[in-house]
Amino acid sequence: MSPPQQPTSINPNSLKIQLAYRFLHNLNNLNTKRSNLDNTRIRRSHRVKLAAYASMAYVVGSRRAWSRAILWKIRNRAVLARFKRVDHKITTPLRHHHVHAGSVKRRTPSCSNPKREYSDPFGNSGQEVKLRKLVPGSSTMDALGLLDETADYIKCLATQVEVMKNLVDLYSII
Amino acid sequence: MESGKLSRVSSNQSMIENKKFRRITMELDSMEESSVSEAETGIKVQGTNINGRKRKGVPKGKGKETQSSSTIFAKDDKVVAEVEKEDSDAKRSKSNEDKKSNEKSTEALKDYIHVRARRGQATDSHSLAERVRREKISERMKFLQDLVPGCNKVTGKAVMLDEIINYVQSLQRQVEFLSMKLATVNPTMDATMEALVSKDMFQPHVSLQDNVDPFDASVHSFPYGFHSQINGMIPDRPENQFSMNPLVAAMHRNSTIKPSSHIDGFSEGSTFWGNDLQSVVKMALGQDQPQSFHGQMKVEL
Repeated sequence: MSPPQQPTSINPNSLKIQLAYRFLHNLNNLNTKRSNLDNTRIRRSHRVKLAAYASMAYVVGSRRAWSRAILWKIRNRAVLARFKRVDHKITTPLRHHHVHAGSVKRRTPSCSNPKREYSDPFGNSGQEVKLRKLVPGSSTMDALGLLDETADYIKCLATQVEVMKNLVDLYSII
Repeated sequence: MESGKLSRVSSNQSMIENKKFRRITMELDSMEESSVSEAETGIKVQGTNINGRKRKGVPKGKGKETQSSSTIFAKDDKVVAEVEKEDSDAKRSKSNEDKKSNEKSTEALKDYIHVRARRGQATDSHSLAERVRREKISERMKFLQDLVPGCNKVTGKAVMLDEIINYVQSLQRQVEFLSMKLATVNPTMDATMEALVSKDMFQPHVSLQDNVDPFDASVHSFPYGFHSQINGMIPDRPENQFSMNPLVAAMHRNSTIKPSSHIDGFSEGSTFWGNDLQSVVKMALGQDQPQSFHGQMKVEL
């Protein structure tokens, strides 16, 4: 069975392809590592969701604050789970990624700028606060940065959703 | 008196040290770290000239090590600039440095964000800077409008923000729902993953010496008949740096790659998998592990 049309040129650097690869890789790891524990459906879906967000953040890397926040959360979760500490005294974020020098300000997601009031600069009622809750890692930015992060986050989320939809379709066919 | 005056919003942080001229510096966005395209407004400002001091285009003594994350100051420049006059005071050349592009250039000329207040509007640096900021925000809102589907008719910031919030929430809910579905549909995923995913596909920049060998090396789990089909599907081009598998081929089979720079994956075609590809994958999986996989599927269903 030969393909009817000429295949289009595949761009290996497109976001979708990278996301797809990374997500599949994460899923694979996820399921091979922990196949003995916790095979209930809820836990599994939670893990899949974590894998999705992790792959999304990994592909974007350290370029964006939201991806850094997600990676930090996930890695701290792993550290917490490993050591099983009750006292949550881990304050230093683990930076495994190679951070681009000079363009990244090191922040933990929990710290917020005490000088600035970031609520309601638009004059809109609490919308920006809502948006900050939705987009991870956006609590330390002003309105302009928040819009930037939202745009990038939306783009990556939409791509991730597309990849997942297609995976589901693929699996359900087989 | 003089009818023209350039207000300059500078991004050079070291400019503040120059106390020669009387300037009103203001911090516009001190937290801006990404590169921002500067918008500017157009027209001249009535202003007075204090000290009549000449100002060279950009003081060359200023530090040129500007980063895009440096703070932005607004200045009231005392340059006498008139269109008609064109004397040596009129640094009209500065107006040519108005740019909307990225601020990462190291030339000192481009450190300034040249803003001219509109006619009949307030000319103090605070309101000017605020106007610049508002324009930046509206620019981003326009970009977000393109990103969020179905927001073309919506005007106004409040409604747009509502739409954006709803969209982000719906996307996140979709991710949750799809992850639940994925967990249901494919419990162990070992079989399918072996079929679909090859091992060295995570080195995207592995250069293929010959475009034939990596296919043989990487696609190890595929039956040979299928493998030859892969070779048929994908041309041996030097651009293909990935080791191809049907997943990748499928993802681009029906996608129309539009030349939009921002929204790369987003604007590709909606039909992801071609019909022929699905049958191809079915065949692959069917040849690979017919019994075990179907057994798993039956258990799940």
